[in-house]
Amino acid sequence: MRLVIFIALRQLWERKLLNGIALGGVALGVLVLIAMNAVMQGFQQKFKGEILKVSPHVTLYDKELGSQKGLLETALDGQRIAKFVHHEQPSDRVTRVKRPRDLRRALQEMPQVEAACTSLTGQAIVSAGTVDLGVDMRGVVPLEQEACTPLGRYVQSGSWRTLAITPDGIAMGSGVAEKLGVRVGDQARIVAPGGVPQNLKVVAIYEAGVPPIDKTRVYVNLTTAQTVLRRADVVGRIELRLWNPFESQKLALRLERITGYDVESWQEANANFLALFDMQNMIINMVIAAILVVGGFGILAVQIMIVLQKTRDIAILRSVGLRRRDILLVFLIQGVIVALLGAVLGDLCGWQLVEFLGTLKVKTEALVKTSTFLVYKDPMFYLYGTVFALVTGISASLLPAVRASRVEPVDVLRGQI
Amino acid sequence: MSDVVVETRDLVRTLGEKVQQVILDHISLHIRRGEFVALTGHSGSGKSTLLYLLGVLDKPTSGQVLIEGRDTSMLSDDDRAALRNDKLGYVFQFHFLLPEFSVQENVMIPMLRRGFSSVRAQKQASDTLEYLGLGELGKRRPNELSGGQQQRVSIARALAGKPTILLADEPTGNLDSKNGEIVIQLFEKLNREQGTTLVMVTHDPLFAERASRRVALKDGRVISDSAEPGRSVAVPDDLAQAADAQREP
Repeated sequence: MRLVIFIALRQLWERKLLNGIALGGVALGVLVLIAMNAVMQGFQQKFKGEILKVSPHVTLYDKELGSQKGLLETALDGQRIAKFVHHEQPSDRVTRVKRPRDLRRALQEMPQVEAACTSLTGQAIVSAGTVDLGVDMRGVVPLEQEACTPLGRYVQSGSWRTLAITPDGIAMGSGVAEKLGVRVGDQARIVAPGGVPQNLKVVAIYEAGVPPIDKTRVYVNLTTAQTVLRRADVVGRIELRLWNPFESQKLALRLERITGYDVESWQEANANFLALFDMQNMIINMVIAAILVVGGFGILAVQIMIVLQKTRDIAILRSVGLRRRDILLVFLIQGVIVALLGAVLGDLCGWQLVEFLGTLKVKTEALVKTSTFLVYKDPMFYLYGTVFALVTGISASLLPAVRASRVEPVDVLRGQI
Repeated sequence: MSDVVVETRDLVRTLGEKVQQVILDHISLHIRRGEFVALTGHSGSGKSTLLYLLGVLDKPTSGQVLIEGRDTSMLSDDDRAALRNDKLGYVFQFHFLLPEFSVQENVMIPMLRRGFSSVRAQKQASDTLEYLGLGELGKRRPNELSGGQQQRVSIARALAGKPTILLADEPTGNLDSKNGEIVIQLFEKLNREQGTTLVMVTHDPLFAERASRRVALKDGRVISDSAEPGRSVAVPDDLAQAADAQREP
């Protein structure tokens, strides 16, 4: 084995240029893998993180339940024994969550659920002075809501708790406040179609770093919202925060079955983005795979060339007693070394590149708000890079190595003489 | 242990797939310890093929090759490699040194394969190079050496592991007469001083004369053997041709 390594290393060293080129190919693949993943994941993780920070993991929506089948009908499985006349009450038509407090308490009791909160949302117009702004109004029970979507920590001025003790208080995103030109303590008027306008006092301005929340959302007390929307005593949704956000889809399905309401997980709520991310990742991974395959072909080409050039030497080594597997190993080791060195080089360059990208100033306020290039630094990327490089290296050198090990010394000698 | 080092029994080797061409036709030979055998014959007589078979580089179509009484026909590929490494040394017409390795490393490789420590292999390699008058060249690369020197290095490589038998395929074939002479003198010296058993393929009758035993081949058969004068009944050409005609449909 010592001899095999010795021979492999020497042959490798004697072909520095060729093997260096093959090594460069592998390094490039690893570099791209690391840099691309860092950038893609940087953005995606940030986005997911922001969502998970300030959005509920599972949301139960109101639904018109009036058209449910009658008890008798359900019991008889659709077979009717009598027709009964039923006049729909106007209250049946109101979309609402029925007995929301009981439901909330029941949900709160579930082991997966960390917190549950009730709210009523609606479109409203906030005006301050001469400026009017359409907003997404959320009527919440502030302390309950804080447990579900901890916005309180992003409050820049004022305080979330004040909202709880100020029935006519309003908390707004920094973007909303900026557009209205209001500060904490200022007055704002909120109005919704068909509702009762309210004069409110700004008690908190938050900035969650998620533009849709910061620029269009305001929070008021549930009762205020019920008044503004003229939907007294109505709860429109129940939001849940889970201990493990990735159990949300399972739980959402289950709750939908149990309650009959529409229940949506955060993944569903953001399905368009998440699907986009999946697509993005797939494309990037294909590009990375392609680059690594090209790197592998570099090794393959160089090694096949070497094996062809070295047929005589292989015959000699075989005739002085090296076994087939020794020859196989000589070339496999070369492939592994090229791949490994390529991986190390790629890892180092990738690390440098990621560090550099992290310092780039890029201002964006699209899906997430950031002032620098978002890079996600995960040591696993380096591991993946190295593993993939090794896999490519070994698979690329397998063919040449097998070919080399099949050289029959006597064929070479006969050909020569 | 008998003093027969290599024995062949009814060795047959054919080549080609569609048309089976008989290269060696029932060769039975005994090579004893300390002999210096020259295998002669025209090209196509099968002498190189015989040498490869003696050196377990090739497998016979039928018949057996016994090295120190051990049948090699049933050995696995690995065992054959180990046997070559252990008992046999080769010198080829083209010097076949590995260009990436220094002269000394070239000589060491078979010994390292055998599991010698690098110190021991180094020592034995320097000693052998010294003995062959190449002491100063150990650090050089093969391509810095003349053809004669390269051939002597390949002899050193074959010899350093102290093989039971040294096989040489036209060792002078690619050398000028002066260097050829040096190589032959070296073989004579090895045979005389160290008792090395040598089998040398050559088509040069002058060099063949220097061997202690000459075996002549023609069309895959032994037509004369100086050790067994009784066998040296030359096969008449017409008879051989008749036999050929029979073999080839």
